[in-house]
Amino acid sequence: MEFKRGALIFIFLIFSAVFFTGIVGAESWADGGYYGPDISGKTVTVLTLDGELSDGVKAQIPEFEARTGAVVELVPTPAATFNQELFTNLAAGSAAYDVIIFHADFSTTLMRSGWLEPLNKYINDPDIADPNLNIDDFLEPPFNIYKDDEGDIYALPYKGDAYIYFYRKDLINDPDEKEKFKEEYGYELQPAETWQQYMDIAEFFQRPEENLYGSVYTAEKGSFLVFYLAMRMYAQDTKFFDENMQPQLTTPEAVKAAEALKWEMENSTPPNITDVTFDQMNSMFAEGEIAQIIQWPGVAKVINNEETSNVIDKVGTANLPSWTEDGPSGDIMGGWFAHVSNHSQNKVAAYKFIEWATSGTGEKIKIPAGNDPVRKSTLNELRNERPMYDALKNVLLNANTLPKFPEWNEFQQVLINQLHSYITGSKTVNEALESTQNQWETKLEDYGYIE
Amino acid sequence: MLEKIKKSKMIYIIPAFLLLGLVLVFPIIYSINISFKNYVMTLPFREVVYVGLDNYIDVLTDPRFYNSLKVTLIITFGSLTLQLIFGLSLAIALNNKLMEENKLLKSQTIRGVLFIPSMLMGVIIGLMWQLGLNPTYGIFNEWLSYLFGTQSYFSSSTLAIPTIVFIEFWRGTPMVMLILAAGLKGIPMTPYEAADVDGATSWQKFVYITLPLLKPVLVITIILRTMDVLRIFDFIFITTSGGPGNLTEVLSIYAYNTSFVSMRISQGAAISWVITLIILIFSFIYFKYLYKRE
Repeated sequence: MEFKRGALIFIFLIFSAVFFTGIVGAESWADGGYYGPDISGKTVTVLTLDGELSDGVKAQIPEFEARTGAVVELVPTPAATFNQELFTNLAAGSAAYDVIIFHADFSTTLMRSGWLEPLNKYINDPDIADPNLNIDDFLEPPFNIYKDDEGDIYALPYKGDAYIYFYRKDLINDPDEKEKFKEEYGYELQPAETWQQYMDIAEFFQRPEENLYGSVYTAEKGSFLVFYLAMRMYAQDTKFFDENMQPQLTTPEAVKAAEALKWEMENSTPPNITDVTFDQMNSMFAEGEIAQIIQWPGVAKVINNEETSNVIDKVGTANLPSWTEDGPSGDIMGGWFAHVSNHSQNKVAAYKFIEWATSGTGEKIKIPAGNDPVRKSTLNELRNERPMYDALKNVLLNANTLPKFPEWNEFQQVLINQLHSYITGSKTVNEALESTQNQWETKLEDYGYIE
Repeated sequence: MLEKIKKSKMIYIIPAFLLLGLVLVFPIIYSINISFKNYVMTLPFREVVYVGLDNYIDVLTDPRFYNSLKVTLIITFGSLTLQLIFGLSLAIALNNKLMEENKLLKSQTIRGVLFIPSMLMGVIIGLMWQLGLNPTYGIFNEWLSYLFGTQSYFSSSTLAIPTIVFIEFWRGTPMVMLILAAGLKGIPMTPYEAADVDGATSWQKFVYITLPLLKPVLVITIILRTMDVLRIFDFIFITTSGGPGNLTEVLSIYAYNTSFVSMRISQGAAISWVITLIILIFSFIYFKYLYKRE
């Protein structure tokens, strides 16, 4: 009798464990299921940048559709028209897009615009949010970019983006190269910790006759120039504006940063640097023509391409250099974020898509397309398989961002024009930076930031 | 009243007028209206109010506007001069007796091939020249390197504008050739026969007969091409985007950058109307001083 009762209790416990695990475990992204309201038949339209971003989303769609019964339509948009497409649609109140995967540049504007749906009500609703959502698993600095002072959350981080220093281990660790470098520069050849070391290494490996160049940039007219200047200024503990919003572009630090950038572009990069595109940068590094590069982590996809890369297993990663051995680094981050449009007619379905796309399970699916994770758990889990993730996590935890006030875009355009004029030789460094400073001061007065 | 309207023929063209109003009149009125406001698309939380002539004053006191105007005028008159010289030369050559007698040279195929640059879309022209002049793999750059060495034509502070002038010249010359060739065909032979009797040289016939009789066609050609080039945008956007720096930022690219890159919609609208005014002024000057009826 006792045995019978014990067996029944045992069977009941086993049955309960299977039953409850089956419900709770299966109703979660992590457990291969879906938890939340019924969104089958709903259509979610996703707008994002054509290329890595859209490829990542495309990879995530089939499983989301299979688990939820919803339909996802992806709208990849070219970089040249991406901002315009987004803003004109949002400003017009269009419901064309439910989900927008967008970069960090306009975070302050978008949070104040009323165009984005605050996500708190979904995240905090136990009937909607996935049980394993775990907001705290996101790295805080990128997560906070789209979190306002009142604690409203306007996005979930989709892609961790921060500039990382990639270098050719095979070149830097080569004993002959080490010997020659020490003879010439008086210190050990190793991954650069300061900008001067970076420039020395670039100069040392500048060997056009061997089709090897010290470094590479894209000097096309665009926002990359601003990042390049920022990383060299931030490493001198100097931002574009001081705490009183006074521009700092005519400081010795800004001049030094701009001159260092131009020196590199003229002395330690491939010829015709002003015609090198972003994709060409990555290709050249992967083909083995470049000794070191400071680039977004998406370059890892090109480096690890077994069909085309000549540098697989030959690349190391580190934080960006500083100007002095113990000084601040120039680490700087961008990032891409998944939002729900406030004009969407399918907000719950849109939220569930971005929840999926940024979940621990969903994150891993988009990695091969070049979209690196932002969750601590994913970065830790994959760090052995992808050694770059140690550097990426470190950078994302400590990196600065470009200025984040609503009118920054206009200021950035002024800086891009002047920097490009300087890089291409039609202005001196002082002309370019003073012109930028003056225009910025005028705009700051117009907008009421300074008197 | 309704019967009157129904009987009137107006009823048949009202739909067309409504459509015209929607796609033409409404955007124009909206554009004028927004040019007097302070709308910036990246500041959606800021109240949009009327600011009077502030946008127009900002444009007319902006050094960047005058840079754009200067660049536009250089490209316009530089390319137009070349187009007229070469276009007229080609038109004369096509109408030459020797050409007429040669079966191959007379064929429409040759004329069609010559006209290809004017038929291409601006975006295609931009892509073609961007790829062709790329210093790393461009075929045109390779050919030119035997004369000038490898150059970054679109990124060079000295070569960017001449390169743009050349491309516009390459694109517009066939159109000029076509119009002037048609104009030459309309000139009667009698004055030339009389000139032959008087022993006039070819140059004298060209200066004293061809040019004066071709003048109305020339003026129309100049007006049309000037208005086209003053509004130039497409291939410059593809090749230089107004760079290096602002060196090739023509008026339309300045308007585009202000409206859609800086997102200053109201100011961009004001710039567009200033550009329109400039084109109208040029048209007025041409008609008043060049198109004098005898």
